[in-house]
Amino acid sequence: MTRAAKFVYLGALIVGLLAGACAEFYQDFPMFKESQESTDTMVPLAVTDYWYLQYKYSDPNDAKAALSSSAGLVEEMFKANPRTKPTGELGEIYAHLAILSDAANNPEQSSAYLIEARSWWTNPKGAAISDDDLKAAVKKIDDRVSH
Amino acid sequence: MKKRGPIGVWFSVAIAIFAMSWWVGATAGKRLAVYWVRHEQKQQEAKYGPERVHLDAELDELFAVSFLRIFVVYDLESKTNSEKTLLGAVSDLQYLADHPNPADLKPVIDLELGIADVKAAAVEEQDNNRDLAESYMKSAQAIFQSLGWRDTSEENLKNMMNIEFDRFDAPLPAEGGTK
Repeated sequence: MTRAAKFVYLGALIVGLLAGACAEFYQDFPMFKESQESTDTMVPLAVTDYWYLQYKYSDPNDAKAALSSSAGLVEEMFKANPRTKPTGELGEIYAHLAILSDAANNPEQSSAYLIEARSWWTNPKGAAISDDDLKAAVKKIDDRVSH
Repeated sequence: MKKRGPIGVWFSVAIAIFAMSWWVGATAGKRLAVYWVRHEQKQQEAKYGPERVHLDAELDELFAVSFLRIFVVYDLESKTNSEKTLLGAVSDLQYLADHPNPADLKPVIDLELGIADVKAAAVEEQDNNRDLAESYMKSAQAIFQSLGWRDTSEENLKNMMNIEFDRFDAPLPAEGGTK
């Protein structure tokens, strides 16, 4: 093998390695990063299912435990990353906790949960919604989802 | 007269070396990208402490569970493949439920496993595998009982599956996966 051939082959090897590595890195890195970010900022479907199905089908105590632990997890997500979505999910969870408290004849706790729920909902029109209307709206959404 | 080198052979060999080293480089580049994303995640965890490590572990596990849900809810075009992926998902969910990481995710994973068991029972019943169907249904009933469900009768669980799967606009096994 001549010196020139060695030079050409070595050049092909180095350029191939660098070009392949750079091309793949710059193609994959944003994709992996986005995937990681969506894992960090999207409330997982398994959590939504968990609190919703437990609320719907389990005993009030188990339902409350599921809602509270889900609220804790989603709040942690918001704390770690304020871009977490959907923003209204925590509002929904606290509204369901308020409905459970009403069923358990605990209006004070229900009001506290509703205050928490409101703090996670944004009302673009700025219109005041009464507690009863808010709970009725949440129940209506549940009924619509169930049928 | 001096003899000249075979340029064509040189060129072909150089192209082959280039292509192979591109492939090796691309593989390394992909691994580097994964490493770099994980490295950045570890930096975040180090910055925010053990709570962040716990949260990341929870989210990774929940992402895996949510991903397996796809194979439970949605039917593939081929019935055989559909059943294979469903039973694979049931087995993976069973593993995750047996080894929850972190442990406080156990009820969330159990719920998903229960849903998968109900679907597996429906599929096995359609295939006239009554023993298997019964075994999956019993497993589902035990899970939902442990989760405090008010009614864990077979009829209610099947009804729940129909309602909740419809929520995802997914085909139901009872309709032969053709909804």
